[in-house]
Amino acid sequence: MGLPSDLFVTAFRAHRLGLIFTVIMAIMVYFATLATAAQTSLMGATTGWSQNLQGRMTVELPPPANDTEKGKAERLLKAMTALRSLPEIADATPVSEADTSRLLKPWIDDPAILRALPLPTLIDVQTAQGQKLEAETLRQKLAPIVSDVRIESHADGMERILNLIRCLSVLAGLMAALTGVALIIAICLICRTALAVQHETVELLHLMGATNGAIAQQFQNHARRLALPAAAVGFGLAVLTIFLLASYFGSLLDRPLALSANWLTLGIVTVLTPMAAIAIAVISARLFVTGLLRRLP
Amino acid sequence: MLVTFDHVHLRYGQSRPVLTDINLAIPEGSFHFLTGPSGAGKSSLLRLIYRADKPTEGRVTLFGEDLSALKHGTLPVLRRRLGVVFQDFRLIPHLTALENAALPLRLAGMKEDQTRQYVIELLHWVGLGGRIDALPSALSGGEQQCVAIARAIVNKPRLLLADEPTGNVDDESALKLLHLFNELNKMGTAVLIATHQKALVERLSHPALHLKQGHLLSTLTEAA
Repeated sequence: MGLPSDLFVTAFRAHRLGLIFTVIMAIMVYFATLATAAQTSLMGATTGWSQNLQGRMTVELPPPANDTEKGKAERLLKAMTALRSLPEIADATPVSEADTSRLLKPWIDDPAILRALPLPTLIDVQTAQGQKLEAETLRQKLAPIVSDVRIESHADGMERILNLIRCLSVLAGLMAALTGVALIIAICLICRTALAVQHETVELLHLMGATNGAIAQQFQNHARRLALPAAAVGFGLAVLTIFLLASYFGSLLDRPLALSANWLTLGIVTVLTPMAAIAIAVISARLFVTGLLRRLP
Repeated sequence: MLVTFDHVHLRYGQSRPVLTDINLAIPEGSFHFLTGPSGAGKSSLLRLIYRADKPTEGRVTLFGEDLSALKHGTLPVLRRRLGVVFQDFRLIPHLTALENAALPLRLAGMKEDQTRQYVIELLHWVGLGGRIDALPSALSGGEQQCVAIARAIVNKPRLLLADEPTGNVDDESALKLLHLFNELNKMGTAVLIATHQKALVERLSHPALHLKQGHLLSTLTEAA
């Protein structure tokens, strides 16, 4: 049989400390959950996109001087034969004119203009697993067949965007960590005030032979009781926000950003965040109160 | 000896000394009053015994342990053999009389049914049998002090310290409390009561230690 669970209830009711604790906890869990979800999504997105773009290139065959369909077809056939003969190439697929037009549609919407333009013939190339093939190397290998061939490596073009997303991901992680630090500071201040409010109870318990651990346990339990519903509220609101953002961006993009990440990983990380926040609240309450009690005579 | 003071001095910061060269010894089962006007240092002397303060100079021992050189974890054990009663009762306002009095036993880990049974008996003994579920706010000053005494003695302490225990109660309640302290002493608990009420001291024929401006004027031996 331990001490009554509501021994320090007065301290947490005074100056609405319990309410402040709950509100701060809910806000921190909300932001931390959003930050960790963002971090996980962005990390997943960069990993997925990196893997997708790895070894992917586009071979551009400029239209021949005579620009006839026959001339184009001959150049394409030669290029495809050369590409398929290379052991580093796993797959080479010509991009249809319809697909090329679709790619250009955001800029040129008029089919008549598109037909009039001397568009290059495109071939999507995927290098074989474990094979490293630079764009310039491939260009040199194709140059004897199609002298004016151009090669575009997808990874090169996307690298800066991927780096930007990686930076955002690190920032999101940092935000989650700072939220944790802010939570610790807030809890320490609340516990200090609560101890000051009920210092006579603390002195009394000490006189009865209570150890610092037994008194700190009271604060720890109280912190847990306040943190649980607060974390649930913060988490619930964060999940709602994530779904709203996902559906909003889902309508703007072909694929919502969150969907780029592994849903299972995202779910686990998101659920772990409020649990970690509760653990932080409980542990910091205990450690801080124990530290303060040690300074008493 | 339960308590010894060996050339003890106490001063808070740079202020004038609160206690000067105190030497005393309190034996097992004794009953003493600690008298003196307000500000003489009575409460400070008691605070040194339950180690709310440490002496600036000198040595205080409690149950044979030097209070300035306690090993980690020893103080709570020593304090469990000590009962303290304050003038302002220091009851926890949202706990009932029973819950307040049971606190030391709950701290010691006693089982709920045993605790309840024992504390109810004790509250009957201090005359509060009918008010066990009352909150402190519903009790008179005298009744609140009875709860505080029950809480102080529930652990069967070897030494009971009382700091102006009758300061906030009427004369009738003060007499009743004094009677309780006397009964407790007869059962073997040493009692040290700090009070400035001379009338109270004169009611019982127990030795008195007198403090004046931080100096102990009569020692235990002299008083006896």
